[in-house]
Amino acid sequence: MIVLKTSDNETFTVERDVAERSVLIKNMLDDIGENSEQAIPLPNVNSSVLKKVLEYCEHHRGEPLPAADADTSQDDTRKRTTDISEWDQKFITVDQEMLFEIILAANYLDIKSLLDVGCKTVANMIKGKTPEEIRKLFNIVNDFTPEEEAQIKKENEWAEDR
Amino acid sequence: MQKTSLLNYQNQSLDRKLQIASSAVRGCRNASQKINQLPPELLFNIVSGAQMNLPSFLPDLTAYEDHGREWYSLLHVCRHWRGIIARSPTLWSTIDNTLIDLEDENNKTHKNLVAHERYLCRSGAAPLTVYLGIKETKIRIKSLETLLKHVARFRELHVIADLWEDTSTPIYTHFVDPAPNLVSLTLRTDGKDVTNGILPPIFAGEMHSLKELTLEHFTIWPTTYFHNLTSLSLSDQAFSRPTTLGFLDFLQNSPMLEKLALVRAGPTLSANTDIVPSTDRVVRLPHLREVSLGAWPTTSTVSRFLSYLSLSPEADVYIWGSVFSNPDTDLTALLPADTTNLHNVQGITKWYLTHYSVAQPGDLLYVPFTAIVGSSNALHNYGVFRSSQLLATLPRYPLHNVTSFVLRDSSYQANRFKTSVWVEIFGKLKNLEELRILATTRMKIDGKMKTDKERQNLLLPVHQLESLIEQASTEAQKMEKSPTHLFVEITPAAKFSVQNSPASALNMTPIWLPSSSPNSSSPEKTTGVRLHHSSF
Repeated sequence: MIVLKTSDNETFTVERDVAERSVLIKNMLDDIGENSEQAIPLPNVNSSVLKKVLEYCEHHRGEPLPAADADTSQDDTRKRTTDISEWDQKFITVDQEMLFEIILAANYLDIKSLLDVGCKTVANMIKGKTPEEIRKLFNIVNDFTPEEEAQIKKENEWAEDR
Repeated sequence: MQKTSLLNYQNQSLDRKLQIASSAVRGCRNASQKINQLPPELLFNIVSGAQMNLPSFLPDLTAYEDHGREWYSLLHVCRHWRGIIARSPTLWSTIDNTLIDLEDENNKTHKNLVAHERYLCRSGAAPLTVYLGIKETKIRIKSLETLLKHVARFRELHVIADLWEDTSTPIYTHFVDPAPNLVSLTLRTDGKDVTNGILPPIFAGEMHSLKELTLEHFTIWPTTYFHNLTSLSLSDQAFSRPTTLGFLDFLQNSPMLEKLALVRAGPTLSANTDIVPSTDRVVRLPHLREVSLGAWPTTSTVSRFLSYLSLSPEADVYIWGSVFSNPDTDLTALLPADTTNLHNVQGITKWYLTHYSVAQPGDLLYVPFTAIVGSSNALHNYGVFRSSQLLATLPRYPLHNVTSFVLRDSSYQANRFKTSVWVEIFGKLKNLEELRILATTRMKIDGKMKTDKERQNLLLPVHQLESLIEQASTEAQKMEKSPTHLFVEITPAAKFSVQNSPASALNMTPIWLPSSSPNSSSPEKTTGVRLHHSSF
């Protein structure tokens, strides 16, 4: 069993194969050796997010991990497949705050499949929306200067011809 | 006067500074939002996921017409997004002739020039995916020349050259420089620019990365071309087709082949003009997962080709075309007599049989086909065949392994298979466990059974049946004038259900059969079920 310590000082005891879905944790374990009882600190992940991440790792335990030396085309294919499994879709149905926290945690912990699920979910959220709708969705404001706006308008005409 | 213009200038300058400051403040506000706190590479991933992604082999070219609409708007969300998108070459790596045409009928020269510069500039050194003649069918010489300067970056090239501007020279004669990174090539023309099916040398023969090839109207190409392919699609070979020997030699150069589509193409010469290899020749294609043979002239050409292949149990083979529409076609010849090398045929455990009356031209659903779907161990027969045709083919399929049988007889009353035909069909299914009847109109296992002997003769010889499901549409029930009686021998544990039917309309009544079937060792278990409509 492996002990993980979050940024808010909570500890999680998990089985090694679950924890090793994270390349970061796997590398750390390889470094500190088999028998260390030391808790692995995860200063960039809080307990509520880690709980969610571990739920994902538990569900996908035993599945093949993408090879570290996988060629770029395989990597691209994996990223570009927009399908998300039913379980993953349910799993990632969380509020926006948590969604981005999961993406950041997956990136930090180096869990490629979870990172893909997170990014694809956001991609699906923005597909087909107008800039204004996207801004509203993510609480962003239009920060272009009038000059840039004019340029964009011109570009819009071009894009609309496509 | 001078003082006024100075003040105006100062005002304008102040306005501009104010606008820039205001923009910066709004930018700071945006930076505090969660999505903009993601590292740039993650925002890039998200935008990349929002882009259209078509497969590199046989992409749906009609879908490409919408390329761009799904992600151009992302450039206009905020400055942060715009910066990341503009600086990500791979986001700009899919390009078509509408983006590089420097002139068009609507006189949008300037805009297109902007587009052209922006696209090719922003794509940096990224490998390019190029679509020509799809969004805009007319391909201009200048546009092609502009693009071909980047040919070394081409990763995919998909061309429909029906409206190539220069009718005096085929478009492919312009492909002269090496394309070392080309992985996928689609070259489709209307055939007018193809002489005797010959594809002359292209890309100086240097396209060593090529794995996926789609050619229309071409039969002959330099012999050193197109080795080590993983996907191959040939169609409309109008001129002399390859011999079986020649085509097998060609296939053997691609032992990693995964997908093969031959539509009005391939080794379809008649027996007296074909050159065949020795009978013991076998081309092993262990990675082949999908074979589509479309519109071949005869079933015997199909079986001749298949007889030289060794396919894995997972291979899916789809055979379709008008050859199945002819009720006089010899369907026996579809598969070779010896199917031991067709491991997908050997693995069949599910059989889907659909029988209907009239092929409706233009309706894709009514294209008859036979499919051996190794990935799901299924055989599909879908067509207008006569019962004699079907019965003649049965020995070619190892139906004794079939445990699940799904059937639909949608043909008109006069063409329906007779009960004796069904009894013969079921006689091949020694290990049937599940029977599913999808009834558009009803299968003709009728009757007005009067005597025990008649019942016995009509008993379907299925002894292992555990499940029978009838999915009758309400419409079908309304059309049906007479009750359907289906007699099957069942085990005590068998489960029966009726779907999509009002419960009151169907009854399943156990009946007593006077004697067991010859294969049944337990006469007391010989129970029949009569499935009939009780009221309409």
